[in-house]
Amino acid sequence: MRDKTNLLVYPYDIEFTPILRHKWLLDGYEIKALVSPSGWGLDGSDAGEADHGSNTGITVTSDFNGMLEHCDAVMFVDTYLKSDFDSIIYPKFEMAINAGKNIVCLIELDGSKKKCIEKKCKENSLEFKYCRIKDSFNFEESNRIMVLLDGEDERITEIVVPVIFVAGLMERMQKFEIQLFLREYLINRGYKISQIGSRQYCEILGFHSFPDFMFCNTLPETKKILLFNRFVKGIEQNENPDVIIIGIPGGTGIYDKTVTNKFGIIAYEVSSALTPDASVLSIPYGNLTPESLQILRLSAKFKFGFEPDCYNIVNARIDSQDSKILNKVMLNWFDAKAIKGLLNYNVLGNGIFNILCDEDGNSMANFIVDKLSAHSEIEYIK
Amino acid sequence: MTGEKPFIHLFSTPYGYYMFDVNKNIIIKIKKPVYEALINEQQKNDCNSEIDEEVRKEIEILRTNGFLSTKRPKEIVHPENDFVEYRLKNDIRKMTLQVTQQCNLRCGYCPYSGDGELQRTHTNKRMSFETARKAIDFLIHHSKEAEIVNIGFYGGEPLLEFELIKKCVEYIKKKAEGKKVSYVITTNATLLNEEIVEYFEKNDIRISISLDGPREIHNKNRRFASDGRGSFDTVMEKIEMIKNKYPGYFPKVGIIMVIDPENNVACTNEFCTNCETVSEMNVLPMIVDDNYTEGKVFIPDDFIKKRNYELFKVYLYELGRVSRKNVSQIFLSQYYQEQNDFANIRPMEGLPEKWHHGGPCVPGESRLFINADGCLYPCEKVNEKSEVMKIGHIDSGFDLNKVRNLINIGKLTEDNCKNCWVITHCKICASQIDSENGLSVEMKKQSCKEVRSTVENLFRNYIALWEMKYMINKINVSP
Repeated sequence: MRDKTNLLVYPYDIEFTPILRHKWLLDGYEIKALVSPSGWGLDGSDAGEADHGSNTGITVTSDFNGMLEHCDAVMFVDTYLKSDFDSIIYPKFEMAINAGKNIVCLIELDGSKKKCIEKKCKENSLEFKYCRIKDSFNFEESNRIMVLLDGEDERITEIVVPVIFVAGLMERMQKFEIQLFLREYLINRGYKISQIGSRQYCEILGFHSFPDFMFCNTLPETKKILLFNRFVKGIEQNENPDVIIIGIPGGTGIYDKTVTNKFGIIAYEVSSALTPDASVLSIPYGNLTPESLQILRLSAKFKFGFEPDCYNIVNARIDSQDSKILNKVMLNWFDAKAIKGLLNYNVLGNGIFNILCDEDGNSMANFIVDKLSAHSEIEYIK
Repeated sequence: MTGEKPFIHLFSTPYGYYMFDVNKNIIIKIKKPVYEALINEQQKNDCNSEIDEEVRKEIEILRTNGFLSTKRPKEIVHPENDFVEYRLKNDIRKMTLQVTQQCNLRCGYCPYSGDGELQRTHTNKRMSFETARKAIDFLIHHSKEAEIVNIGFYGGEPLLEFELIKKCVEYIKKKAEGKKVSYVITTNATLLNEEIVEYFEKNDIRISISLDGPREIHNKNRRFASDGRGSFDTVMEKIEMIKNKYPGYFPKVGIIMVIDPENNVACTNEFCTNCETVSEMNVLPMIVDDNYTEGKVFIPDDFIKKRNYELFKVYLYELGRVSRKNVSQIFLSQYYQEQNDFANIRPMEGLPEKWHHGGPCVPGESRLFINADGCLYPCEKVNEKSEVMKIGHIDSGFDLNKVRNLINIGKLTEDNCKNCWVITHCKICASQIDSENGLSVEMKKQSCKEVRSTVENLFRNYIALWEMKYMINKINVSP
């Protein structure tokens, strides 16, 4: 059995925590160290503090140099907190290469930096694994598909296999954690899963990234919907799964007039391309009532054609003041374990979970499976 | 019965009648007969008196649109009460370090220049680097969610500890990798020299200089401790030095101007306008703070008249009737602040059952103040001798019970607050009601009257300007 590659992950923050919590998905890798810039406040803390969930047993450090000797490769990862690439991140690439470590890159690099790092790795006989899906749209491939599509009418092909959508009202709604949890849960129960993740480097976790063409500026929106439909159909035909999980990037709607979440365009296009058999909508904690959930349900129904089957209530609240000032959704996080005491489950009913809280992950997955099972008991005659 | 009356506040101007709906948090213009009917109902507790059918219909339309709700909060609890632990664990944005308690001036209005009964006095106590280091580590550890933090240096006169400030900045550069840090120092400027300014420029440290106005006004209060000499000439010399030798850095230097109502505000205005150097700078005016002084600040009628006249000129400027040079920068800043406050008013769908009056921040989150001993306070304006205000220590962290005590001051006057139309716009915080014996109900009730008056004036001023703009547009459009 091939030895696993010992990994140092840098720079660690909340963005990587879902992968850490499901680290077995990183096939061939063993996470040995999590390193954060000292100013991010995680130094000396358990890595679980990053997403305010349970402890992971791994302590974060700021000692990049010191941890290098314990690893074979350094994985550079996307983060929520932004720091200057040239002064903080790039020097770590150089340090890793100088220390003879292979590079695994999940960060989007511009062309020149990518070439430069690739070259340095080559010069030092080191592996450089760039895990982002193609950054630039493949015009040849798209032109080929467009020719095929041009000749057809705009029909949607039916996806026969059950499909689960994972969507969030806005960004940073723990969607990726839910996607990875469901994947792990279903695989462990013997299901064959095909998956399209909401991020751009999911191949390293064993499934598809959200396709690049969906963000292309030159492709008409109608073609994107059709392409996505064909993309999923292709996965269904080639991989023959028991269920398909699709994580939808971005948010499903506007928060207010200043924070518009790109108007939920991607969610609309995905839900136009295919209809889910079950869905999870992740929303921030707030003044939740049966009436507000009803509004969400109806909004999704009329905008996207499906009603969420269950909700993930994120252990974070919207900071209205900061969101208005900074023109983006700003959240105030609290410990996931506190959410049980804050939600009135008797009033809100079934289908309310927090993915980081105790057994809620399993309960949510059971809920979804029960929904799919109930569906499968009805034999549809075409 | 109070609970049955619509939760509204009615007011009129010479040109109109207005209703502020507390549940919807909106001001609307209403017709005079409707206004009179609603006043009647509010004052005489008489909902069933005869009113005109037309007026009844108009009132019904308001009700149908969600106005005139009688709903009031059932319990006074701050909305952040359940979350303070997490806010303070992750969201601290600003920290001010008291690097020294000593100062080379003895300003007349400074709370530390007193006899030490109510507030601490100036002492030689200084923050050790060990304490500063712990404070910086504390901030880093408690600001995980903040992309940028601000660190302020305060005193006494912080430039007495320039070496400590440098050590702090160098330590922050090492320990705060990945975090954006901005700095500010509040200083009397008398100790500034080129070496210090160069260091501040190199490390992007903004300066707030205390300058109270022209020579005679500034020197009335701001005097050197050594010989009682006024500090104006020294301060101006330092400001000119920065302007002439560091022109690129000069925009990062601002003025804090303490307005003593007993002084001639017109002279201060003139100084801000006519002094070429000062007219280029950002001026933040502040009325003398009398929260922790024995005697309260007396505001003479003359000051009020002159202030109102200056505000009137600001309105004329906003209406395009006078030029900018005729307008006081001091009162223009105040006006913009008021406009900003008003613009931030968001409509609501109704008061929650658990609500609290505006005013209390989450103590320590937005402006954590750490004194020379490492004690934690909500901000630099509170009394360091007050046990109520001491919300923790850098070694032991926050005392959450004390923090909750400070954000839930509405509990002191719970029944009053539940029925107060200013509830969402109140500005009373714990520092205004902090007495020798703890948080004072009497002081709170006294502050309540002032706040109601202030908020009503805010609404009236905004409405007055709106009315004037409307009428001018009408005049301009008419043939």
